[in-house]
Amino acid sequence: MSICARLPWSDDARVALRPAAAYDELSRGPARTPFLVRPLLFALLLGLVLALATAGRPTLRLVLGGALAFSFIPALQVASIALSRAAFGRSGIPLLLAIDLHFLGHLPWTAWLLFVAAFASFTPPEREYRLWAVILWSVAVPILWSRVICWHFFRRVLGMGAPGALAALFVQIAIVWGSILAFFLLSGQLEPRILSGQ
Amino acid sequence: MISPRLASAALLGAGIAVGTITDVVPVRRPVLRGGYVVLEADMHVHSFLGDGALWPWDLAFEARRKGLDAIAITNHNQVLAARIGRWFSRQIEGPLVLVGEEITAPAYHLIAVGIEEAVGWRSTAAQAIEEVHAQGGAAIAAHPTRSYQGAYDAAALRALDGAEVAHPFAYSAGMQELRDFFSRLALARARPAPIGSSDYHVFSSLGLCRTYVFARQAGERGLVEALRQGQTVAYDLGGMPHGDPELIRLLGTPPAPPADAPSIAVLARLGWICSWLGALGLLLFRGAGDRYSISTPIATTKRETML
Repeated sequence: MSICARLPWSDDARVALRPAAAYDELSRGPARTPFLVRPLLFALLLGLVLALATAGRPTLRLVLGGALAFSFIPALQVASIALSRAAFGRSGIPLLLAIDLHFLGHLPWTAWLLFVAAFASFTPPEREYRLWAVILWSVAVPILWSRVICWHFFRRVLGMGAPGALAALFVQIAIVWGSILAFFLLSGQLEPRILSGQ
Repeated sequence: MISPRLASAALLGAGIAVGTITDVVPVRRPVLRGGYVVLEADMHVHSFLGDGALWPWDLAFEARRKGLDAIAITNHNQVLAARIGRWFSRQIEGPLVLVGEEITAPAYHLIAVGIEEAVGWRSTAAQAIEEVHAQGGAAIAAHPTRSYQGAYDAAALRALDGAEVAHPFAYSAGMQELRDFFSRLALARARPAPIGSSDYHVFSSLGLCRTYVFARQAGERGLVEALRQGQTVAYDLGGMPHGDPELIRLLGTPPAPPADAPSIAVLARLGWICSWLGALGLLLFRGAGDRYSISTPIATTKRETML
């Protein structure tokens, strides 16, 4: 066996690389991660990335502040899973286990965010426009990869058929991105930009 | 043997501890030149609760770290975050935080500084400037590149207090359009305020472009009054100073932004590396509590179809 095969890879890595098989196996076991720990860890990682990318140092103040600020993202994801499970789920898997398994599939995003933090830290501020170009071009990878993982999550963990999984994917995007757009629209920050076509 | 996950957690914790220890915010002393207090200011900063990434209170800390005496929090069409930032900075005796707004209309973006209530975006540029003045604030044309210049008619130009001549946008698109607009403004009114702003949202560009404000007094009112009277100097990205030649002479060589002491910089970098590696390790390596069976090694199974 190669060194790579002998390393004790995390559940996150296995879900990222072999989502169908990993979710099949994981959904059979009981949840061991305490209540909502994975969503909280995801929020903390968002805070860490923010601290590394802005101040160039992981201060507790920035990590916790960033986690608090962006905790709406995992919160919206939890809401979308609860709704999708209720509307289209057929497996009867407990909600907490479903949430836990869903957040196991975040490696494409978390790895990409760490990559962005590293790139940002070594990009001088006057070259920030290059950083944005890299972000805009590379973000397609986590978007597409995480959709594939979510598809398998809905199919294998929540037992959905193909139409249900497709609808659940749409619901998830609508809840997470729709809420963010709604905030900017209702606070008057988006409408002028739409009107100006920017 | 220590598990990779435990080692990762220890690295992450150590990294955050070191990063927190190095979170030293330098003390600023007022710079006096020719009877003026010279304030280094960034008048165009976005915060969380808008499309900025940092909380208003974190902006106050980061502004001080970047050697800024004053910032204006200017979220798009709202002032809530700016008010929070001002309140917080007063509690910690931090830098001046001015309540501001980037009035974001389809045809123009206008920075309002020193206001209390949000100014509506549905009015013309001239009307918006008038409302800013009615609240006792100063009005600055934000990144007035060609696509944003059309809304500034003769009346608006006469009423504007200043315009951004230095903006990060110019690093990618050049500075000629900003220089041209400032020249137009200087023809339309006497002594407009040249402004350097970072338009900060995220990453490390806070204070990258800054304004040297020559105020008679160091408070918020003194700063806004100086903006209204054009008592500012800004260096555009070509290194050309803009502003009253006498103020440029008084300023001399602009002071360099503060830098960490070498030992602090090394420790901060160490904290960065430890926490980054620790976070990556936590994501990649299994811990004792993970459920996954190790009966199916990751690199020896057949490749499955993804869909």
